[in-house]
Amino acid sequence: MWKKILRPYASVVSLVVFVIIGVLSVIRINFHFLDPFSNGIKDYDVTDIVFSRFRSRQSVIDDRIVIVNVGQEGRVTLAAMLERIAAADPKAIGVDVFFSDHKATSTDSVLQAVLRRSGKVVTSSKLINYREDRQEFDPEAGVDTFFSNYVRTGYANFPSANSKTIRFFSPQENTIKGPAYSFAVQVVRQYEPAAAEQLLERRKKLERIYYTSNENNFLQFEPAQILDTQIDLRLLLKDKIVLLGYNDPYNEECPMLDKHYTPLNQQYSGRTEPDMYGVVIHANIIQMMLDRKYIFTMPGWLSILLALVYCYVNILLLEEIHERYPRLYYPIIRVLQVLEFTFLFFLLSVLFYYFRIKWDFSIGMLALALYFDVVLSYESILNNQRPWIEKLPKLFDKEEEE
Amino acid sequence: MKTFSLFLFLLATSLLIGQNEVVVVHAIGNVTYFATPQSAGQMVYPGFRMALPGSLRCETGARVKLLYNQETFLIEDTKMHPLSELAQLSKGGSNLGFTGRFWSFLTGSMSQSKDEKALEENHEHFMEEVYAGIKGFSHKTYPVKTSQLYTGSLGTEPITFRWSDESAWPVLRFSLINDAGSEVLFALVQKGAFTLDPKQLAMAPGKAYQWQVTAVNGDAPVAQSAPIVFTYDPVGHEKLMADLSAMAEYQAAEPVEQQLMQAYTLEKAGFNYGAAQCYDQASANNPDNVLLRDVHAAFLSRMDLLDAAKKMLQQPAGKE
Repeated sequence: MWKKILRPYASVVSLVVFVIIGVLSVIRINFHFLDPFSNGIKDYDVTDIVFSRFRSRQSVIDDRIVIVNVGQEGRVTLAAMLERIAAADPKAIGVDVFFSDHKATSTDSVLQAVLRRSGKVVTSSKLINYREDRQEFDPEAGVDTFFSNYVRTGYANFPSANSKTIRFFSPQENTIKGPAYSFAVQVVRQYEPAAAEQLLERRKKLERIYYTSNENNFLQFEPAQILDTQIDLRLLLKDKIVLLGYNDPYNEECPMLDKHYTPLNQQYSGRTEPDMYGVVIHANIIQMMLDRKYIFTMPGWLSILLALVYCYVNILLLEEIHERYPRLYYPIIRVLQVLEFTFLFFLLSVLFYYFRIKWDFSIGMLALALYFDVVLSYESILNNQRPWIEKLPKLFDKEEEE
Repeated sequence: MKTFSLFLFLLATSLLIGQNEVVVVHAIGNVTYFATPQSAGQMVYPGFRMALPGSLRCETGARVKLLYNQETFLIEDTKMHPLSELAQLSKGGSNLGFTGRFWSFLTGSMSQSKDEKALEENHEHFMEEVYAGIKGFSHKTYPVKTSQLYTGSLGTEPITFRWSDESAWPVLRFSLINDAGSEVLFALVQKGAFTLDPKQLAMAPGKAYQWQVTAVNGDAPVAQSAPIVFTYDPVGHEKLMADLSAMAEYQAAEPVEQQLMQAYTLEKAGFNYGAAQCYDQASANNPDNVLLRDVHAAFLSRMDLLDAAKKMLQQPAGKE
């Protein structure tokens, strides 16, 4: 049994495959001529296809969260809206607006009074000036102390590389004034503190966002509807989370304001148009926290180990196929490679879709793509007839040797 | 067994009820729901639930997103939409399971590459798919021209609706529509004006109405004016004038200044038609006043009556 599994040939070729992968990952060449291609795919993640294409298209309204568009209304209208919303007795109110400076004292005072009275409001802030030496940010910015002294604040920063796709959020960061929490965490702390605690106990610096909804999964109110006294908001907002933010796709002047790229984008590679408003992204994070549906990432070392085993098994299979079908092994292996790619894609998608397991198996995929060519190159090198080479295990002329 | 039957009954009932219910997810502007053709309209808002036999209508510029049978539908035209349409449009949600979606993704990718090949071979068939350019942001043009005089608020005074007149349009159809979308008055007229006395109509105070003129040839529409919305406000005009009369500055002003103050106050409050009457009266009383003439012309240009404004400025003062 062990003799069948532990084969020197498979071990040596697997080692060569991984050495090549290692060398490829160490040598960095800037292939400018490949830029159109690399720019298109650098923003691509297999799980993005799961989010954008394999997600169920059926819409169900989340009855815990309601979105209110603030449009381009001024602070007086915003105060009036908050007053009406607070009177409807929601459990938490998140205002995804930066009250970063003073405007007219009279209007600011009205807004401040409403924020104070409500006692349930969380407003957006910004984290700025990360200090490498202290590993801390400056105190939260983006909200004037005239307001922040009376409300909870949560930062609306999202970590995102050049691609600008929002896949992660940071639940907590350190500032000079102590810990600061993200906007969504602060809203959940107001709504269901246990859910927020559970997230923070995971002690992860970054959480991958488990997107389940787009704007169609939430009731979306316009300012006029909130201010309309004929509508009984209590029936619609009581005990819910009300998120106020910019959600105005029909505004011809600035439909892209606060709109971002997410993995739900139908164009999963080479994205051209942002697809989700910031307030809807916050809503997705809140949903994830309330449902306790977190994404588990397979540790890197385990991925490499599994990739090594996978490569080894493929070479064993190659040996077996070569032994049984010496004339047909080449096309069989090529077809097998294509089938395995499809199967791996299916497997990774199933793991992510049903179990929320994010498994970065790119090394395994690369090994699958390379192993057969490595075998062919290895065999041709062995034909050199050098004495030290002849000691290495062979596959193709094994029969003749025997 | 009984419990099981009851459970099945409840499940089936709840499924049926759930399927017959349409929920408003998002609404912009005035969208009205009619439970039956005879019933009064109800304004809809997010979370509003409607029964399937009802109908829905959006006013100009309004749009509504509905959820039915786990699918969303967007309505943005001004037609009356029976909600039963949704049942026909509904594909029953996407019932494909994960494996089905995976398979359609794989085969979809293949059809995409097939499309590319077809495009290269026969690009003429694909030339009308994309136009790179914009339409621009000008308003839609209507052959029958009106003015801004009839926007905003109109009071109880008789109103003469005017529009551009052309010999090619011998018969025009004037129509007045209420905020529920029902036509409350129509008249076939021959000239470029039609006078209406709001006191004779049962118009609801504070409600919006829309008027429009359509040139017709038999029953077929030939040309149209832009639909113009105004609010019927029977008391606003008088109240504004009463407030103005109480002001010391107004009392101390000359008669011509008083008329200008009236016109300005009315225009500012959206009573454009009332303001126009004030200007007309002031100009008739003071034909030699050049300043008044210029102010009047500026008002007419604000009301999109550029030709009338130009004509007024070209006439020498005092020679009306």
